[in-house]
Amino acid sequence: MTEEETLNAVCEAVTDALGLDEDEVTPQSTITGELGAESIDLLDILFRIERLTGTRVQAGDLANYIQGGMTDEEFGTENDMVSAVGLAHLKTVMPQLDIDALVDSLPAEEVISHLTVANLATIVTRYAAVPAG
Amino acid sequence: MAAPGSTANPASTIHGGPTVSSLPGGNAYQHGPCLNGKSALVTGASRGLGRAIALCLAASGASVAVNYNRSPGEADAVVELIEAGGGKAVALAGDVADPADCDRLVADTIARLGGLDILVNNAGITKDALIFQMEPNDWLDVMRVNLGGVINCTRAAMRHFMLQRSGAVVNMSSVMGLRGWTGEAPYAASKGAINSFTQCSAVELARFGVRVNAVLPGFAQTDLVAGLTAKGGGKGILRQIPARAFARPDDIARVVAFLASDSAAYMTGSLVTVDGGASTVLGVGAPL
Repeated sequence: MTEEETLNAVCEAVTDALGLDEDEVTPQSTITGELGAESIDLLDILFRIERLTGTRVQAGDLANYIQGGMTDEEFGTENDMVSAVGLAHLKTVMPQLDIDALVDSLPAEEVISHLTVANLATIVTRYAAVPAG
Repeated sequence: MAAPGSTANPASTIHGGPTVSSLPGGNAYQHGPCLNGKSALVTGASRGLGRAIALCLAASGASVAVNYNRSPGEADAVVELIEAGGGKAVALAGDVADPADCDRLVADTIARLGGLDILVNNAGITKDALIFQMEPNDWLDVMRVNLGGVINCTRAAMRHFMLQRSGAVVNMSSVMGLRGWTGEAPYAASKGAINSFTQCSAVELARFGVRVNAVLPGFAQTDLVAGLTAKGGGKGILRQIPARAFARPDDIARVVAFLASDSAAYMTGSLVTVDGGASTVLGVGAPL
């Protein structure tokens, strides 16, 4: 499956799971932010993606992608803001973010709300490339 | 030991129709729900209601995994009966209180029957005692099997159901979960919890095409209630049942088969009493 096909599948999954019109979902749409998806919606989206692409992505995989394997203590500061090293990682995995504007001002628990449809497609592509088992 | 009124109860008009065991080939459900091509896992299916449910689902066309914990011979007998009727069945050992066992039961069912479409969470125990006289862990032992089994098996099956976007779960609860009864606190509490879990899981799984309902039997002729129904010929209990009869296991099984079938396609989160009116009655005897 090409990256474009994967992106189309993710868009379809998000659209169907949230009951939205096609034009309401773009690659730049933030899934839990603008589109308002809740945890059960996210589960639905991931299962639909698996049916469409054959690639299994679990909810925990999204957190791993966002934090890059860092512990919560490494990723966040004492004030629960994303740390400098955390922001440096986000710059690579969520390139749509204006990292310079978020220094000491992005709560770690809110990072997921910035996850876009395109970010999710990237995650699916990454996991599709990993051999099963 | 059969419950009083099990073979002749002239006063009862609620019973009627053949049972699976009474017809050659067990085709009593010819006009019942169609489960052709479906695969089912029934926990605690070696005897009692579980046995009746397994036989009923098989007679309706489903392939059935007959789970047992301690009675392999009885489970094998259920499998043989199903196969003698032209059906397909396997006996699978497992303790539903153990999440790993439940994972294995589901995986083995899928592997040996080619899929899983129906889960009947029937396995259960009771430890009847007055609350004042209960052993400290009695309630936990009952919860671990009754509620734990439902949760463990549902969780084990749900990924498969969610991915295929279809599935029917039927949880065996009890009218004891609706009302109080002396000496039944641990069992009743577990069944009340099953009712709540049924409703929560129905809400969460509906969007995935998975239906979850519960059957709440009243007094049926099984070993589980033999002690209750044997006391004084069971008349004390019979008097409190408007239908004046205990349920035959088939009476319960048929409702389970209906809920498992596409005939109940728009039912989810339902708690279906099958009790001859026992949980409906406010009082015994005429008010005047």
